[in-house]
Amino acid sequence: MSRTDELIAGYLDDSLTDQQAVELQQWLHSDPANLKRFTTAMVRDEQLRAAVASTESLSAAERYHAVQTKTQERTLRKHSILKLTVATSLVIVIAWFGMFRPHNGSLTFAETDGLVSLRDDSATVHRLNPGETFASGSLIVEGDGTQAKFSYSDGSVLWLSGGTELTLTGGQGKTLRLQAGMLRADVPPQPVDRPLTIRTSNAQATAFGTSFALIAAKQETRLVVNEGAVNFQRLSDAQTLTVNANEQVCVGQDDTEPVRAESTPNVSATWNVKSKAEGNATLVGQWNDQENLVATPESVFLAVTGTNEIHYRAGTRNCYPGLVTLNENSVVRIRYRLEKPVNLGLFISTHLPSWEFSGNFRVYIETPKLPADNDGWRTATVPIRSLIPMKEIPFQPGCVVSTLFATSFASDVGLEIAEFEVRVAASQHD
Amino acid sequence: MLDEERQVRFTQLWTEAQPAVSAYVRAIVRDSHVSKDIVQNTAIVLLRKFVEWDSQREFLPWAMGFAKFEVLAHRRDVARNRLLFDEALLEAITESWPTAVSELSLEQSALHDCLETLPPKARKIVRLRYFEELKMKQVAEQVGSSAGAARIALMRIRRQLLDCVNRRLQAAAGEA
Repeated sequence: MSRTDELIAGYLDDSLTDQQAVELQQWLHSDPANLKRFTTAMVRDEQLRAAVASTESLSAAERYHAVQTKTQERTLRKHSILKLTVATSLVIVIAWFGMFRPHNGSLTFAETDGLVSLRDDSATVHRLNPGETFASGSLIVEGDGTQAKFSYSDGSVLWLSGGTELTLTGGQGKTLRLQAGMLRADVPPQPVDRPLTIRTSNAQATAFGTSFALIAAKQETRLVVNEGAVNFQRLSDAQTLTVNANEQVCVGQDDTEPVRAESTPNVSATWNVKSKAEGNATLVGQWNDQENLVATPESVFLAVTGTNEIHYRAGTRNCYPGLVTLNENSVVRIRYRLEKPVNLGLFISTHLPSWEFSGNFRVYIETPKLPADNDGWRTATVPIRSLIPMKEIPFQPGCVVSTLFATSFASDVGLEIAEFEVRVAASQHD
Repeated sequence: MLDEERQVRFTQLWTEAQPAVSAYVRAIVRDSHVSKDIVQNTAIVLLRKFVEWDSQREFLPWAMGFAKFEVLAHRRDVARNRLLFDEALLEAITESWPTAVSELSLEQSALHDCLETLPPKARKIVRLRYFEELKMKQVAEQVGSSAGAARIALMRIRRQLLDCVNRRLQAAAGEA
């Protein structure tokens, strides 16, 4: 094996030292043929990644099929025994329901107010309809404030938030991989040998009967337990701990500190977009040179028409711990300008501290009715009580905002925001 | 804003180009979560710039140019990437990527078959590294070897797969 082979392999294995990185760079610069060789190795490596992903998904489906076939064969045999003797059948029925009932790893899509797709083993993506059951593939949920509900035959229920991707990795047990996003689960008592297991890029949660939420963000995994307890393991060093009700734990990509469970934190009652993307927050839009937030286009699924549209939005998302806690006197204040005076939409998605979804809210700001200053800036202050519930869930004081943005909808009118905040008004006239 | 016809056209072109762009970004930034963000940002920029696209030009190289800028923006934050890929190298890789993908496209289907021929331990290593996305140290722990031994094993597996792919392609060429 040549030194060059070692360096290329080191790159592909993510194990290059700084010195080796410099050495590889010099080698790449020394001859265009070297660069071609390196590019070829990278393309082949990504082809291998794609092939393995496809093969592993297929294996999961095959394992599931094998289990189902065996289950059917066992059922037929038991029917024959039933014909022979009632007593024997009783024993079998007791055994079947009490001990040997096969665990069904299939997930059924129950409902959503957004768009849910399934990427199957052949990498074909199709839209899911309520009632569809599947045992492999990757689920993708789209849309702000969207919740998609899924259930297992044992009564376990999963809610996936918009922006979540979840892969079913096992045919028999409930083994899932949360690629990104947030999952909330209510899990009845599980067989000890086949608990619900969810893995992310750097952690694994095992639930034997509990209510919890798991968030896979860019570089970290966070588990928040509402009821019962969940076993949590950091994959990098296999450190394991039990996280109890009202506790949370978080592990990062390169953490070396001991894993510790902590009390679930409170979320502040004030928020300002100028605090930018703190923690898990993701900016919607982009900052310009004047430190103003400018709207960027996002593809939006419109449930009413069943179509996608490009909308222009600016704001922030933060599924954990959330942006701000709302109370009766909360107000949203926004200072903005537009190239044309179109109406502005404000959108808020909320959840309770227990992570239960607590509704989406919106309000239209009538731009032409607001005076603009010489530079075109307008200011609107909106009491939280004036926002309109979008899902017939009334406002609940104490809920936490996970998404907040302003939108000019499909109008590309250069929405620019100088100030955007949520605070508690001192009085009703504030 | 794009009219409906151009939006449909963009969707068609992006759907076709996305696997190659995603593989390129993943190969450079080495993190699947970050890669997804970069690819998504690239898609947004492409959508905004699509009115400027000259339909006489190939879409993939044009899209790769924007992906490169997104990678460059990310690279500023990652020390190792900065050490390895200066702007000239990144430019050269970006330019050569569409050709390399096209040249190696025949290998993809043969690779699926060759994966099936790997012995169980080799398949496990491949699965842990490429599907579970574990670091080599974790892969080594799972298969009960040292990190160095796991790295050498993976190198051999890649070589074995390449030999297998070449044999199959030669056999297919002979049959044709």
